[in-house]
Amino acid sequence: MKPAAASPRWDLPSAPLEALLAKHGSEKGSSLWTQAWTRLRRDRAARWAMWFLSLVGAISLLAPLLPLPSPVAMHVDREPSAPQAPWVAPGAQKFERQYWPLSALDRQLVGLRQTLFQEWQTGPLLGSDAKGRDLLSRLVWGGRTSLAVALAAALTSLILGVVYGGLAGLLGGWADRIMMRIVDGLYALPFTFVVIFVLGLVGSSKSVAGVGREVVFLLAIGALYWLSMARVVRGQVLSLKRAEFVLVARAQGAGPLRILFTHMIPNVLAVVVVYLTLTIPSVMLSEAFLSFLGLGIEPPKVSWGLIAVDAIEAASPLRVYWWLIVFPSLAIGSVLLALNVLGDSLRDALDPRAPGRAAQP
Amino acid sequence: MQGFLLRRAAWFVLTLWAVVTSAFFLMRAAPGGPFSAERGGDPLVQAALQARYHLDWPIWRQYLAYVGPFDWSAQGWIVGDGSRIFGGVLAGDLGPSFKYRDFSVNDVLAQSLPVSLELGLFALFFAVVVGVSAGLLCALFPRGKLDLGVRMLATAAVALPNFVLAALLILVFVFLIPLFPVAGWGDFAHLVLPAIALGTPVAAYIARLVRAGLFDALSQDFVRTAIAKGMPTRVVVLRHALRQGLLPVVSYLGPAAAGILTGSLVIEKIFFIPGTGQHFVNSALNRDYTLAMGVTILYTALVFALNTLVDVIYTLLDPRIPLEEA
Amino acid sequence: MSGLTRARRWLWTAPAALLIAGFAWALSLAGASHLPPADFTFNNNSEVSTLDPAAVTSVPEGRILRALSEGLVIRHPTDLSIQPGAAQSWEMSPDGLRWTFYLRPGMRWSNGEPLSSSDFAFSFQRLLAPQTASPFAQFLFAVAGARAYHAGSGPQGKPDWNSVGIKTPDALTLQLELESPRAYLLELLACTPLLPVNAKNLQQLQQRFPQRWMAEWQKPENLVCNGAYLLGSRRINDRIRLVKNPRYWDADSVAFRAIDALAVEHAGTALNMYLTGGCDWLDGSVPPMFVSEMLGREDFRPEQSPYLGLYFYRLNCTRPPLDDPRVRRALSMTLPRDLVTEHLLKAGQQRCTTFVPWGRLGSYESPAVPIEGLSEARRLLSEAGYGPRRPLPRLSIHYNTAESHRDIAELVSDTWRMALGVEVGLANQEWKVWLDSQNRLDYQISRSSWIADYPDASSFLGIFTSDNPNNRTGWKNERFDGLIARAESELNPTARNKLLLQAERILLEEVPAIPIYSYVAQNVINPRLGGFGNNLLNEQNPKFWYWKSDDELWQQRREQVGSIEFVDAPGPAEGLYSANALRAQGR
Repeated sequence: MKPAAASPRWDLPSAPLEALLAKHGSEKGSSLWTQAWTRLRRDRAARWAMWFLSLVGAISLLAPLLPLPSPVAMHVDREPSAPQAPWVAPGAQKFERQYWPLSALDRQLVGLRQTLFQEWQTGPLLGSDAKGRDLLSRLVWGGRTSLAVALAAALTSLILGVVYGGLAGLLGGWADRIMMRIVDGLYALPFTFVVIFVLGLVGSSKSVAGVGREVVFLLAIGALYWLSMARVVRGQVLSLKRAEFVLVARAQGAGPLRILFTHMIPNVLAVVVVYLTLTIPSVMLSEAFLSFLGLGIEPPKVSWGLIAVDAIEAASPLRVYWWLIVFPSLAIGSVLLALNVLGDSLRDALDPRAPGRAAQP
Repeated sequence: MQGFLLRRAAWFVLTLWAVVTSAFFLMRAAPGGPFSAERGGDPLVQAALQARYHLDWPIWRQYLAYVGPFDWSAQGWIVGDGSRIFGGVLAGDLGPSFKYRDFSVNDVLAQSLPVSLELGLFALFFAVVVGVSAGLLCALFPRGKLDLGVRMLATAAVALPNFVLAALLILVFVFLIPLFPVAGWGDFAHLVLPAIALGTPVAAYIARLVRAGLFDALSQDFVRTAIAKGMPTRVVVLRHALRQGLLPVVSYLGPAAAGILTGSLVIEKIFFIPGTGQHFVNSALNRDYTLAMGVTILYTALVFALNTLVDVIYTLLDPRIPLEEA
Repeated sequence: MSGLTRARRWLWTAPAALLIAGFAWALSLAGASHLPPADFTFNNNSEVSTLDPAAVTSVPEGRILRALSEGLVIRHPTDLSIQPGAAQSWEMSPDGLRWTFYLRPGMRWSNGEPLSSSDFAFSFQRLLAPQTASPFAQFLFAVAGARAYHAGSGPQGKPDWNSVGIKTPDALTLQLELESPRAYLLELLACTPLLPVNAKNLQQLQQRFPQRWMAEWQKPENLVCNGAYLLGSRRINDRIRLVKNPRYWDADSVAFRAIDALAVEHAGTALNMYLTGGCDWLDGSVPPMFVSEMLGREDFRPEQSPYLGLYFYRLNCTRPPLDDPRVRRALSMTLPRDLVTEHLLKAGQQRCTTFVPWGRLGSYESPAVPIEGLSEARRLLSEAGYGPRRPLPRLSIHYNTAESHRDIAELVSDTWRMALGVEVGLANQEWKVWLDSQNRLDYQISRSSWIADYPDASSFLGIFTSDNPNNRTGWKNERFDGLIARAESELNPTARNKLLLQAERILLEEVPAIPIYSYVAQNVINPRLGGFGNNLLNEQNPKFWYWKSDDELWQQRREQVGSIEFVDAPGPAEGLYSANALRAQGR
């Protein structure tokens, strides 16, 4: 944009105009996202969170390769054993290749692991549970399942929510009001009932394999969270519609599509990304609740929800199996904490209203 | 204001009707019925049970009988056989419970609601006090170690499933340091641990909201003016910024309070508390249609009432915000 | 300052005030029902669905009802022998077709009205009436005309109570006329559905509340009963308080003045409450994680408490490949029962290959089942046409959501896969859905269990008759039906046992279901409790309970053989004895 003509009211530097323009012209313009990234990197808590989450993600992806015991192999005649330091009797037990039905890639990875490590596996570094299953292995594999479920459910809610909320916000007026009232109505339906109803329908059909049930489970949870996402997106779209830069763009003659893609979507996406990062913890907590009811992930597959349910019974005046409570709490707590911190920092970084930042034209 | 309240009431009635109708048909579509039991599938017996609770009627007739306001339940068509004229939800009768057969749904809710309210109000009290204090502390000493610590703690408290939190509380405060009873309901000591388990996630969320709201408020012009005038920071924060900082808390508390006041199945199961939270889940699992509808109606009404209250308070506090958009 | 501003100032205090006021109000409501502690507290495992004897189907209801009501006869807690209850004596005619019961004179209901035989006649009529929809109406089908009455028909096409063989010659005599003799009639009469109900009270309430009588009848202020205890108060999912009934004919033998029945469902919570003194008796609430910790303690001896319960897998006999009894036998032979009981259960349950748990009941002994090897199973499969070239199609085991069921199913499916090469999948269903699929025969293998209603072999074997709604396997065998029917009306115990033996042999050949293990009663009892019967039905009658004094407790401990770990036995040091017991002790 060309600068306005120099006015006596402004105190411009005495350097010639061309030099001024050249200096500023060589600066790279920064978009919302690059600015946000810079801010994010400077936030120490966010940096830690990102590193931690990357580590967790890497471990989850590579879980079949790690020399951990099987998360499924039961040794019911043994007591839950306390954690053993790695230098006590390393490699005492042989690796038992027992898993739930794995995907082809995972099977390959497990095969690769066997070639690499032969029969060696880590000992009970974090202890074992009531059925003799290794806790560390269950936490790693369980994290894999929980994170996958959470991501998938969050994405489902994202797609549904953005489409619905964006539409409601753009249409405005009566259509918006009705759509939002439908959302309010759906909010009032008790969550458990819907889940039980849907699971009951699927459970009673001929499909016996766990696959059909899990897909339903994912859809049910995703279907719960799209309501909040729709509300948030709609609010953002509404406020954006009235934003000054949109009016300016319209005044300049930009068409509705250009407004949508160049101006609205980036700002909406900001909110959506933040919300997504904060939905994943909620989804994981819902999964834990459903596992408590027995409606969640089915054994032998393991998830953090199931491990957490075992944790409740581990304390009694007779004996306290502290590792069954402490380590799952640490694992779940730290990952969800990191996600929440990241979400908060993203919100701070992307927030155009914070002091020193201006809404992006 | 009156117009707003009237419109809200109208929406409430409409939403409630929609929820009741959809829940009514949804429930009956799920496989399994309220009277299937492991013993006694004799078809004669099943038929007699269904007849007693009018489950053999065509579904539209069951629906009308449930909704009321007239007692359609007798053989006579419109008005009952003289034993009573009014019945159904619109007359205040939520029907008999299919699972707890010696009780009507009104009785079941009347027994469990005060318990949940007591626990919920105490949990809210705890949550508000702890959350607001924590958020205030963060705002008074910004960007320091305290701020970071409280932020981490608050976020961590939301990061654990509430039954894990309950297990940790029991581990520490019942077995390690025997301060409280392990479970049950009766006096104040039984109230503390469940209230903490219930209220901590809310407290954490409130702390974050207060912190964010106060930062927002503190960046405003009038705060800068007040500090320039020479007011001590503490006074500025407490008297001026807090009012605005608490606005997001108020709007969050609406639905959150509804959830807390109706209770949580997990907390009630672990701490053996006879509240309403377990009815939400158990009525679905038992196919207790009437009780499930009853708790749904209760929850919807509570959410609506609290949301409206929140909107009204919001507008009264900050008149710049128009009522409809709140 | 304007009025609105002032109002806004107070607005901040309003929510706080509301919060505090609400809290105080709720505190007053909920706290007001804080009861003083009862003499004895036990965990009833789940909230009772109803206290109507005719509608009761499960154990928790039975426990409460046996405290509130007393039937014609009761079972002794130690050996389950039939003892006089409301009837002080009875006679059976020589042909076994007429039973006469003489009621105890002077008995009263809790509202003071005299108890008479017409009350029992009314209760039995109510049990048989089709509108009552009682699942146990068949307990009285031995009575002449009862079956027709229950089906809603009679000699003139309408149900006629006069055609049913229940007569009351006078206020203290009840006569039952049977259509064929029934050897275990007394056992049936001691069961919960046959408990009496006060006719006048029920009819009055039905008149006052034609729509709501079901919700009014069982209220503590309305309920009229004849047993050792009254209903003091009742809070759903919390506790039922029973208080001693002063008008009970044997009130002097009742020791406890108040008993609480809790409804704790969560096993871990129940165990914790017991261990911290909040509860004195648990039935089956020991989480598997702590079973081995609890074994060897004085208060947990499940290995000494066989229980008449059977865990088995129902087989849907209407669908291939399970419609071939050879396939079913092969599956039954290769089921790893020992692994299940020794590795998964650990509380002393035992493998069971017969249809009567523990292999014997009273004078009846199940036929011996030889342990077959794998080769025999494979031979049977190949006879049925399945082998390496034509493997068995995929099967599935349905179970309701519980970890123990899943573990057993997984163990069984793994073993079957290794032994017979058959793929077995697991289908976890929510409870109602699981029941539904069983009823509709929409399953292949379904996990089940059965608890005896009365201590007789026919309580188990009779499930599999073709007209029994508890069959749910689609299996029918005329010879079996005939044998069971003949055994029903056989009075001579030896002849009867022979008939039942033949019937069980048919079951063992045809295998409509695969028995897996016999239950044990996992009672955790405060050692101070006296009068607690360790019996096969785990049936307790609260009128016999009392607290032992320290002396008696140590006397009992001195007589223990073997090494067990003594535990705390909280309770009154001088014990709590009934008036009769105190008199007997000379106090």
